[in-house]
Amino acid sequence: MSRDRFDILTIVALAGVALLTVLLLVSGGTSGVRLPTGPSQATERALQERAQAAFLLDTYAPVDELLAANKPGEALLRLEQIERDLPGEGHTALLRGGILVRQGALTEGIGEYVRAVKLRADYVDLRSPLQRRVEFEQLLATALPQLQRRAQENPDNPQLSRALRDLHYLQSRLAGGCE
Amino acid sequence: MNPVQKVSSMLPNPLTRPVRVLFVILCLALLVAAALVACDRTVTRQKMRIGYMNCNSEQETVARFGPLTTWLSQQLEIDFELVPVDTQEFTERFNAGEFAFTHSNPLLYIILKKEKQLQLLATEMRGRYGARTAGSIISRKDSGILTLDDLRGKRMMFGPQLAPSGYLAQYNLMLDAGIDPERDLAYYAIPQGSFKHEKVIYSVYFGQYDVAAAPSLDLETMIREGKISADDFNIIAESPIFPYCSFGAAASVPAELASRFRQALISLTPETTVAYQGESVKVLGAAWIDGFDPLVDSDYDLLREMAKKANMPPYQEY
Repeated sequence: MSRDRFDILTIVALAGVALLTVLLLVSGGTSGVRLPTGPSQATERALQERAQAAFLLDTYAPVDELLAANKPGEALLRLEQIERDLPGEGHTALLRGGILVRQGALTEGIGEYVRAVKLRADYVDLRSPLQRRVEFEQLLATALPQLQRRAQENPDNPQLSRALRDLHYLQSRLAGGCE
Repeated sequence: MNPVQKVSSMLPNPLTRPVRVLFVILCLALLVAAALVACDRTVTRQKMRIGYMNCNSEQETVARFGPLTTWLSQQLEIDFELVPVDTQEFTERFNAGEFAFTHSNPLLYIILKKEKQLQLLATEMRGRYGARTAGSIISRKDSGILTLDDLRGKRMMFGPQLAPSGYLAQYNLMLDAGIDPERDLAYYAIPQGSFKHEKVIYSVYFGQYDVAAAPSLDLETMIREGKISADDFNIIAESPIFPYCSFGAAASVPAELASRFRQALISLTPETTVAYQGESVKVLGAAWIDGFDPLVDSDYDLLREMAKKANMPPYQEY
């Protein structure tokens, strides 16, 4: 059976494709390189973090504005309103903790900080844009000696014991301890 | 065969009939004595009364504090009776000896402390400030009333006069800002009847008054319940925090009993239950309380300063 030029070209092309396929399979198998099919995990994580930070910034902007205008009472009520829409959001607890501590409700403020860290570990994560380690360290430096003294003077006061336990929890999370 | 003959027949034969009868009589006497002693114990259990200040209404007070009173009776083995008391009558009825234990707002506590040496037992925890609370001055969001200075010439609604977070705190905020509520407001009023604090807030919400003296706790609770929104109001000013409602004991209550009462209160947790009217009820939940904090008398000094400045009891001068 005679072959014309077209047949020869087809056979050559098929052989080329087969060779290329073999080469690709061999090179892929030896180097372990995969062709990218979408954003990498790192990209996805960075995107998620930025979206989260932008969302929190936007949602809590009215609270920040009220605090900047020295209106802590109104800021607390605004947080109450946000909590109705976003129950269990750690950022509400974090901001409320800061306000309560400044208002003098120390044990309640510390309780809110602990709730915030339990709901969102980013606040003690060095690499997170949401981290508030300096705020926690300042709280520990001022409140810990004060509460230790008060708890010693009032050993039967369960509220002071609880606040002290909460501070030690924050201390351990700052030191890298787990939940 | 009568009962005496029946018991006698069970005894050994050598006993004579009179001895048998005597034995049965003695047994019966013993049973009667035991029953009497048991009855006597029930009858002699101490009875005491706790006066609870009505926050909103008598009905609400009974519903809130009934389970707590029952639980205290069980814990302290004393038959406590719940006495709902109108705020205005509280000191008068306490002075008349109607109740030995008190649950009242902190202003009534400092009045009775000064006049009758009331013993502080524990302070109620409720809301974001725990065992403390505050008072706010509010205006409608669209009113343009934003600062304390804007209050001059405005119509204001206060809470009841003996309410520390509904009257005294706001009165002081205004005095501190150089505003005399008696002269600088166009008019001010105090609502009548029950649920006064909610009435105060709604009076601004519906535009009947320009500004109002609202307890911060009521604003917080009403927002949480969806009755109002944080967008509805401006908080013109908020007072510093001071102790909330408190339990006290008359000076005549022995220190040991007062101490046991205090310990019982601070041992309460949200999980504590009591059998009440055929149901198992959460004691703190029913009373809308988060817990009790054993504050000390000096924690109330800020409120004393406020009362002095506003010429209010127990420091009122005519």
